[in-house]
Amino acid sequence: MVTTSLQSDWSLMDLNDLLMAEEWQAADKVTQSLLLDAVGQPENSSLSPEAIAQIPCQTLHSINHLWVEASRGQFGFSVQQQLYQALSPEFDTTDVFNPFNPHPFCQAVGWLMVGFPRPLAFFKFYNFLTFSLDAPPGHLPALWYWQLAWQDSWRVGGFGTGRGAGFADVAMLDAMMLRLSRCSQI
Amino acid sequence: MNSPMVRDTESPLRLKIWIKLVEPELTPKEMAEEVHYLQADILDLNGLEKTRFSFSTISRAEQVMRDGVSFDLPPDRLPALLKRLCDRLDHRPLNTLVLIQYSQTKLQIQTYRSEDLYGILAAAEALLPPDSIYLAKAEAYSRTQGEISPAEDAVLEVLRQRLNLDEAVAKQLKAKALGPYKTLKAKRQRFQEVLMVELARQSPLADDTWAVLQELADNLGLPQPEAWGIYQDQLQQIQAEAEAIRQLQIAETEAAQRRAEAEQRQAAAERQQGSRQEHLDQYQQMVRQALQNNLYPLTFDQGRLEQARQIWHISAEEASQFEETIRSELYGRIDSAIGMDYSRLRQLLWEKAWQKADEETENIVLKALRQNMEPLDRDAILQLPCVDLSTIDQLWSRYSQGKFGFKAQQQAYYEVDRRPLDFLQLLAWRGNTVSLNRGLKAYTQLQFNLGAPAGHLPTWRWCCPSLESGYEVSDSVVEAMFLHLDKCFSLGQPLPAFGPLSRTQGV
Repeated sequence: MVTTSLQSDWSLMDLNDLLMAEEWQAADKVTQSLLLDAVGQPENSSLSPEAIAQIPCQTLHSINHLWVEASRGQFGFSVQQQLYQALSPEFDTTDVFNPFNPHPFCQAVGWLMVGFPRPLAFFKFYNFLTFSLDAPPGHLPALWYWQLAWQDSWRVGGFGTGRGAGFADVAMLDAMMLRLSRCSQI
Repeated sequence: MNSPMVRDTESPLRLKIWIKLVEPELTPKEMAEEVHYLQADILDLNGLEKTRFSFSTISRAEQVMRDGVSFDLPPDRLPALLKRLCDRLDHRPLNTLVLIQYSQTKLQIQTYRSEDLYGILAAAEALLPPDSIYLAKAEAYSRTQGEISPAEDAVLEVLRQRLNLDEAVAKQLKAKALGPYKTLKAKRQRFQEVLMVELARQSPLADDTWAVLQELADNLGLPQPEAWGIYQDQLQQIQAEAEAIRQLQIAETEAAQRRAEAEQRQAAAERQQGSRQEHLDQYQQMVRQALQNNLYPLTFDQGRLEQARQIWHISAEEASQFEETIRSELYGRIDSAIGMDYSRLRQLLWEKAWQKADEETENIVLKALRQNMEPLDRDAILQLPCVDLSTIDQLWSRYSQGKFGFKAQQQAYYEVDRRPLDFLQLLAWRGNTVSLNRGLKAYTQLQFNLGAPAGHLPTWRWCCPSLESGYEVSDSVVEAMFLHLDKCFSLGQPLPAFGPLSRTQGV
């Protein structure tokens, strides 16, 4: 739940400034801070599906609005949600728990490592994401998905450094998309 | 006017008078003038206004001309007549022949001197029987005033003494003169009585009827002006009465008309009311037909309904109310205690779009209880209004023939003796717990068709933070949900006497 005791150092104003300056990576970091702050978690912690489900819709709307505006529709939660919904029918739900069966959304937004002859089921390291408008639509914001607790990182096959090199984990992705979907009903 | 003649035949008290000018010197023209003046002088006398004259003629130089008049005279008027003639002679001494006849007795004088002429009066009076003179006087008084005034009575007394009449005889004569109706009042009354009878037959009176009544007035000794006055009064009264009656009739007619109009209006209003009710019934019938096979009227039916609505003056609100009532009847009611709109859910269920209906159910439930659309926890579930739970259940149950809905879930819960995990498995919301992922299923792996187990839908996805990583319902949510459902609906079967695990665990 939202508490006021944990006040982020960052505000929507800061996010706006960074986005206007096209400082995409810094903006992604501030976005994550704002989300954590909204659910009362400390900075540098990670979101869980349960926490995502509690993010106030207003926060999501505000952040999304700034991203969409600054990127002229290239980045933002709503862009991601639209892609996710459009690609969900292609997702093999009978094999939903197979780590080598990532949601087609992950490939579409360019989050998966690129190997030969086809994209691998592993996620890129965060620093290797494309922090420019050259990135595919929906590529950012990404830190909400990448930033994992140390043990979770290991669980998904990473090396304790977040999502990087890890397998697909539909829970976080689905939780955020479900959250966005529910918020869009208001 | 024939009344004087009638009176003539009845009364013998008449003197016959001839007056003739014996003046050979006068030219025919002068003679004619003199006769004319003579006639005028006589007519001028009181009581002689209606005198009828016959004329005597004389032939002179082969020319016939009038030289005198003859007429009947009431005896009491004789002194007045002689006096008038004397005055004439004083004025112009023309040689005049006067002949007075009573019955067979005649008295004649020819003179140009007034003294001579006046001298004849006593002789003339002597001609008449004293009682007839007295009677004539009394009659004259009676006729002019309708009764005899005290002054006139005094004159009659003097006359009686001069005539040397017996007092009893005079009294008799006076009574005779007055007729059966002694006073003016009695005469008036009698005349009025007769007049009323006549007026009852015709009003106003025809001329000849009035003539007869005038005769009656004469005979009664009622003066003509009096009779005329009474007649006019009566006429006026009758006219006033007639007018009053007419006014009354007009008022009555108007009242009747107003009553009739009011009745007509009421009848029209009733007819309109009746026809309005008919129109409303007809309109509802149309709505029912339009909704028979479609949850909402097709465009074609919408057009027809709109047309009918306007023709029959049914307000849009009323029309939509009819439509919703009939739709609820045909497709299930959508009551809500908290203002939620279940029409989309109903439509989706009607379309058998089970998954979308499930999403809509979540949407409604979250909107109802959560400002921020967060998943429901145990406490929030307990706040779901029973009315809304009942509406959701009733809609799901209706379109799945009882397979889906909260009551089906409640039934399943009782079947597994209120064990949450068994319940989840019975509903196929969860598989074998020892398998991969503890038997959790992705939401999209659930069965959105009628082949699903009873109670499979609606899901309780509104308590899940995510769905694709496993549709997971916690034990505490199951318990809270049934605690609440038990409160809202009784399934008509006794609850298990001893609360199984769930009860003691949950609360």
